[in-house]
This record gives sequence, structure tokens and C-alpha cells, in this order.
Amino acid sequence: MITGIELIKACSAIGAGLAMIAGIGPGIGQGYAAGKGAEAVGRQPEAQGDVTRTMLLGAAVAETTGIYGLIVAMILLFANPFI
Amino acid sequence: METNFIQWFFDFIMSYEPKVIIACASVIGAGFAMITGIGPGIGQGYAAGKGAEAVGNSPKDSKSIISTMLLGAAIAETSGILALVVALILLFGNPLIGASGSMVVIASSAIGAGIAVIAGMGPAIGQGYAAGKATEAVGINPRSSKGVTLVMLVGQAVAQTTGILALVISLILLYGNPFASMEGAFIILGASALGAGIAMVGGIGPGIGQGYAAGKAAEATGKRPDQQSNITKIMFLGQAVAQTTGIYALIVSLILMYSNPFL
Repeated sequence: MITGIELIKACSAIGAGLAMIAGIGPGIGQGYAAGKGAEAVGRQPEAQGDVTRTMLLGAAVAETTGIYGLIVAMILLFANPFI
Repeated sequence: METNFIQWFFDFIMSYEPKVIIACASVIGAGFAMITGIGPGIGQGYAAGKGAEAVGNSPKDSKSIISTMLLGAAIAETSGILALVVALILLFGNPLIGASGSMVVIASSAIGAGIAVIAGMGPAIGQGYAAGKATEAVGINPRSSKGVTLVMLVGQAVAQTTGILALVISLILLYGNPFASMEGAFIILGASALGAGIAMVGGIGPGIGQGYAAGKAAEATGKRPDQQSNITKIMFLGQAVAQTTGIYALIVSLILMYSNPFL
């Protein structure tokens, strides 16, 4: 007999996996930033420091939803409110 | 007491011989794996378009343009081939048929293995873009061909990372399945195997993004060959950042497989 708790745990495992699909977005966005950074440095080598700083700052912002996905996955795994 | 749908479904599944259920799951997994084919199609199509454009603009350089295009497109094929390998393993050399353990767990692992390699779609798209940009750059500045090709190849190699990670998870589920020997409710083990595979699909993003970065770096190198090392440095830094969500996905997948809190 499948108990309710077992079913919740099973669905939580799948939910945690689904949450990680969020990683698609930051990966694309940060890669775009990296590409533009490389382009900018090629064009204006002396501005490399500024280019790098700006790129990383923007990438950090783009990272947020990936982290949200990870947080939700971790909540489902380790601090599940339904168990 | 009336049986609920979930219980009925699993009773129905378990009324069959294990081999039958695992075969059903394997064909589904093989089908999922081939979704990856979207990636090389898009990526290589882009590269071909850029190749045709470049040859049109600079017919006398068609030889080096075409060789760059083909080299880049060949790499973009990688993920498609890896997905094909997983699908063929599931169909013809299936290690899960005859595996010990609950049939639901084994079946879920087969589907999870197929779903995991869908991540390879991303690297293929990204690598195709890189191939296209490198081809374009060689057409514009043929003398930079060597540097451009090198930057393209290195960038494409990095972009392949999440595809490789997904393949590793897929192969673990197929050949070194940790769930088969675990104690615990079969429904939790099966769902965890599925979850581990699904998590890897997030790797689509880093692959696309890193490939884009590689393409832009190749383009920049074509324009300013003297700045190749600076350009490459920025490309690597950006690609490392873009990799983070792929690593997150891997972490969740590994937690579900080896450090599962539900058991």
C-alpha cells in the first residue's frame, strides 16, 4: 500500500528535478553577456577592467532565478513543509 | 476500502512481468533521448546559413570558409550522437533488463536516463552558433583563420560541459544505478530516479549561452587577432559564470541519487 507520505516524497523528488529546469535561463543569458563582453574587449582592449566588471555585475543579476530554482529544490528535499 | 487511482495504477503495472514494464519504459526513454536532435538541427542550420553567406561575399576564400564551417558543425553534432548512443543502448544493449530491484525503480531509471540527455540540445545550438560566427569571421578576414578556429574550438569544448554531465548521469542510471540496491519505498526511489534525470535538462541553458560566447569571441578574434588572449580570457570568465546553473542541476541530481533525504 502506498502511503500518503510516500507519495508526497515521490512527488517532491520529481518537483526538485523540475525546479532545476530554471537553469536554462541564466545559462543562456549569462552566456550572451559573456559573448558581448568578449566582443567589447576585442574592440576596446584598454577598457577590459570595466568590461569585466560590468559583465559580472549583470551576470550576477541574471543568476537570481537560477538560485531561486535551487532554493526551491533544496526546500523540497530538506525542509519540505508537507512532511 | 476503494482503491485509489495511484494504487490501482501501480497494481496494474506490477501485474506484468518485470521485463515487459522495463521494455515499455526503455522505449519511452529512447524517444525522450532523441528530442536532443532539435539542437544540432538548429545549430548546424545556422552554421550552414553563415557559410553560404560568407562564400557569397568572398567566393575566392570558399575553401577555408567551408572547412571552418564543417569543422564547427561536426562538433555541434556531438550531442546528437551521444543521445543516439543512449537511445540505442536502451533499445539493443539494455543493461536494465535483468537488473535486480523493483521493476518500477528500474523502469523509472530508464525514462530518467532518456530525459537527462535532452540537455545536449543546448550545447548543440550554442556550438552551431559558434561555428557560424567563426565561419563568418574567416570569410571577412581569412588571415585570422587559425586564431578564429582555435577560439571557436576551445569555446565549443566548454559549451559541451553540460551535455557531458547529462550523459554521465544518464549512464549512471543505466549502468551504475544506485537506486537498485537502496532500501525504501519503490515509489520514492522511482520518482527520485526520474527527478535526477529531469534536473539535468537545465543544462540546455549553459550550453546555448556558452556557445554564444564562443561565437562572439571568434568574431572578435577575427576582427582583432592581436587581442586573442584578452578576448579568450573574458570568454572563459563569462562561460564559467554561465556554467553555475548547470552545476546546480548536477548537485540536485547527485543528491537525489546518493544522498537522498527521503529514504
